[in-house]
Amino acid sequence: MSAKRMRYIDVTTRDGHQSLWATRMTNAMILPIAEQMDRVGFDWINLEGGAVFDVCVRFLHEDPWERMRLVAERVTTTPIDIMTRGQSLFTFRFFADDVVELTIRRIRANGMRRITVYDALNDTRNLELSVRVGKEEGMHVAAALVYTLSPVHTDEYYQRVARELVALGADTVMIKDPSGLLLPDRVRTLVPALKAVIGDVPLELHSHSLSGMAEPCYLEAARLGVDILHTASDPLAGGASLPSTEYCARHLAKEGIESRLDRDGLATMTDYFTGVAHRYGFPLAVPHRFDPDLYRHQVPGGMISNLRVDLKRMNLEDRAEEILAEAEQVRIDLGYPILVSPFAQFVIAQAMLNVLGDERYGTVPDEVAKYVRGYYGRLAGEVDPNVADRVFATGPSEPFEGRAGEVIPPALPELRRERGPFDSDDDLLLAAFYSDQELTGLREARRRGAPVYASAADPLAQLIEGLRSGPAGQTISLQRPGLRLSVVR
Amino acid sequence: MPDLTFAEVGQILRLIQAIDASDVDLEWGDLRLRIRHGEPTVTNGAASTVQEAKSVVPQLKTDAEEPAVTAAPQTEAATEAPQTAAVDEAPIVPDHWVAVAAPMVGTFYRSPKPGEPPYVEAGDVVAAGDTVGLVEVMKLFTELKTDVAGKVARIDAADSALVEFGQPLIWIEPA
Repeated sequence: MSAKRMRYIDVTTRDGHQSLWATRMTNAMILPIAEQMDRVGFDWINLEGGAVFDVCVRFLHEDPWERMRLVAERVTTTPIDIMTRGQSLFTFRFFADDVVELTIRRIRANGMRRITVYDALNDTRNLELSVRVGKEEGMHVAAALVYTLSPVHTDEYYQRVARELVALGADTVMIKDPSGLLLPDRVRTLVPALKAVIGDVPLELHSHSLSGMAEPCYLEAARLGVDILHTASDPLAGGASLPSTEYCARHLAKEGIESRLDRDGLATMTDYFTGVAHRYGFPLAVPHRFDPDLYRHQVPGGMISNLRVDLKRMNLEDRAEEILAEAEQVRIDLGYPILVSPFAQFVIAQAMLNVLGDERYGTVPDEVAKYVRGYYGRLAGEVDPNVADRVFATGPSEPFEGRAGEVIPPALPELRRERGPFDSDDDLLLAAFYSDQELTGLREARRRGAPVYASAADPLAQLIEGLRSGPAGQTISLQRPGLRLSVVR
Repeated sequence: MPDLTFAEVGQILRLIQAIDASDVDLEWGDLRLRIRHGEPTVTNGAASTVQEAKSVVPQLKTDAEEPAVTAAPQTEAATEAPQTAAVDEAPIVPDHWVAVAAPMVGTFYRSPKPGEPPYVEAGDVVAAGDTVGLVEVMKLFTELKTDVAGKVARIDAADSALVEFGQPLIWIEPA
């Protein structure tokens, strides 16, 4: 019997910093190590998703398309992966089919070889187009089912979703557990249930360790035949992020589940990203404790801290617990939406309005009403009849049964007419996602010209590179055994 | 002596940036580093400053482990300065004016999107059911509609202002 090999997708440069460093990893932090990451032996490297794309444009003023190209120039062996939210791509809005199709084609054109798609309602109709175009482009397509805990999200429910994903043509099926709700006990029923319906299609696991449970879940899932694990380099692993690659590879090897990962390469990555944390003042990952509350309200940690900031701004900090308690009820009333973006915001916003307004559901925000009407896709559970009555009291009396993408008119011709001409399809798509005002910073950064990114062949090279940015008029001398460097500028 | 690591390089660069001195002398394992501003000086006598430099390093480590991302290149806080409600002393409102009030606490926006013209300006004529503004809470936008037709008499909240539940935002003088 040959030893089983676990496959790994590295998420350090995507979910790692999204979960722990507020998505603030720049090209200057990623590119120096990219060539070495290519040689570690990952099956894929995940580079961008909705938050990375968005923060690149709006806060870092780095072109996310350019990041794909720059990394693809350096990572030539390991296929690179981009995650999208299906019909909403990198945002929370639903886009017309022509925008979705062009985006998938541009992901491939910019050197990416895999896409991972998911829909927050697990309505696979919202993934059809992305999967089809991804396959046409010759990419590996991973399709995710989003995990949550509720009376309606049973193993049978997930078997239905997994069958649909395979029917769409997904190359792999992924369990995506964004809030870290998965527990080893559930792994023992869910993984065999899914494997029973997806046959030879590989199964991936992606779980955040918000409650310290992802690590035991990964080990258990590997024993039960999960084929691919999503993991991060040690300084960016665990806690709000995903389990550590080193941790999984080390412990699974003891159980006879091998990997082709190069240990020295992993150690270099750990050293390198620890250096990035030190240099830029980012926190190193800290393991989380088991948090019983999480399984009750299910509100992701990031959202709770956002809520507290918002409430503080309004001098309503003392209402936070009441709002979280109401969020539990709102989630039930709305038919158990999974608390990921954008539905987590919907539930929290509705809970805020219910607590702070004069009556529950006295105000229903437009997006919540659209959700109830089925505009975003099929709901997993039933909406409370009283809430449904409120929503359907105005506007059309019937729920929307179709696929969101099919009722949105094509957007590209109008974009070209109103905001074109564009230098490239990539720019056309940026205009589809962002207003001119939101693109101002990126455009200004482009006018300043592209920086040159050095590769960090070794720590000394990195040090010299780091000293390069000092002010003029400096004299720098550096000495090591066998090396003397003196620079005056 | 083991080789220099990336982690140490990160600490050294952070240290040089953090102490913000014109002259730096650093010995780190077998590495000697001197940085001088202005006139180049002769390499000598680094020993006295070495101790000092080393003692700073552990503190830096502690800073780096704080769960705040304050040193991030650009934080959202920097671009999203908190807005305060523009609640001036309310001038007298004639009895027949009708308020479009905030349906919830949130941020009031006068335009459909940043950079676009406001839904309404004072003096505009509006029909019942017209959208006159937006209120945002947790990134969800709710349209404010006027129940009455008439003329926009006055706008009492600034764009991006934080508004309270029930706060009158726009006054309509019914036709």
